[in-house]
Amino acid sequence: MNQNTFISLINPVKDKMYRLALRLLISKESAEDATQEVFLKLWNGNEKIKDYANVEAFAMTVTRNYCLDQLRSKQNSNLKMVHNNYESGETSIHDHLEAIDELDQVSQIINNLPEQQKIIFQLRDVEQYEYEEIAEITKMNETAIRVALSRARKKIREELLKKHNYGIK
Amino acid sequence: MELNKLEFLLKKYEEGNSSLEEENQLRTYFASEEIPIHLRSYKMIFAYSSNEKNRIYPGKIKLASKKAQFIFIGIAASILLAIGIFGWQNNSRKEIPQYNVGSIEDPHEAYQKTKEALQLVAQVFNAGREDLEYLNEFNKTKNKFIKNQ
Repeated sequence: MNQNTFISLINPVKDKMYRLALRLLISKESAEDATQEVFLKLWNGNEKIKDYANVEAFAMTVTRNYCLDQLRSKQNSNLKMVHNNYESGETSIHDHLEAIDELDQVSQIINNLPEQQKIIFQLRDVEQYEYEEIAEITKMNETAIRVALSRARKKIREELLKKHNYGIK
Repeated sequence: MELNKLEFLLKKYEEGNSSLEEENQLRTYFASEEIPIHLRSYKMIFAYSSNEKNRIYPGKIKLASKKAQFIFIGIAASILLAIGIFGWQNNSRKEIPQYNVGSIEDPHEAYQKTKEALQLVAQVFNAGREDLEYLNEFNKTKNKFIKNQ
């Protein structure tokens, strides 16, 4: 496989890989680095890629595993990374408390979900994969996926209702 | 969408039983403006997930860039090494002038000088060894135990 073939194979997946990395690692820099690392991994082992019928699922699995490894190694070295995308740095604390963007709230809630649920929410609700595809990526069975997904969805809504009084009829 | 059907789909969604098609129906519905107030949390969730799908990988696909760097560093290092060795050999090839290297012609004097130098070395060695005297204490203690057995 030459570089061009490889790039044309990986191009349609690269954003999905980045988004999954971002979901898990939270910081944009780490996510970009991780995605780049995974490209290299896939490229250096690119003989193997042909064996896998579904390149996309394989690439997503490698991304997922790589990010989980990164998280483990950070925990092991006791370096709890403070995940900040320093973009809202200009807004004062006052502004921040007053009007956190609604989407940021959802994002914060998802960040507090267990990793497994984050991954599955990302794959299903954002990337809109079929259950079989999620099963192939995560190596979980479909029932377990549905259970985790249901928990994640319920938890997100529950937390949102806690923050607002939207639930009051 | 009628409220009945909507509630039904939302229930399926929460249970993880909705199909992609049904989820898309929900997404389209919640993208419209008039949402009953008690369903606003769903609107946020669907807006969030649609919004997230628009993120794109900001970098380029770089392949083997690191490898190339290492190769470059390797080449640079070997060139430096080659220059270094070449230069060193050239330097060392210069003849050392035979006069003025401190050699002594008279055998007796040479013998004396050598002895002095060796003495000096021996002194330093002995000074160093004195610091190790306390190691004998270990042997003494060890012997006590061995005898007692």
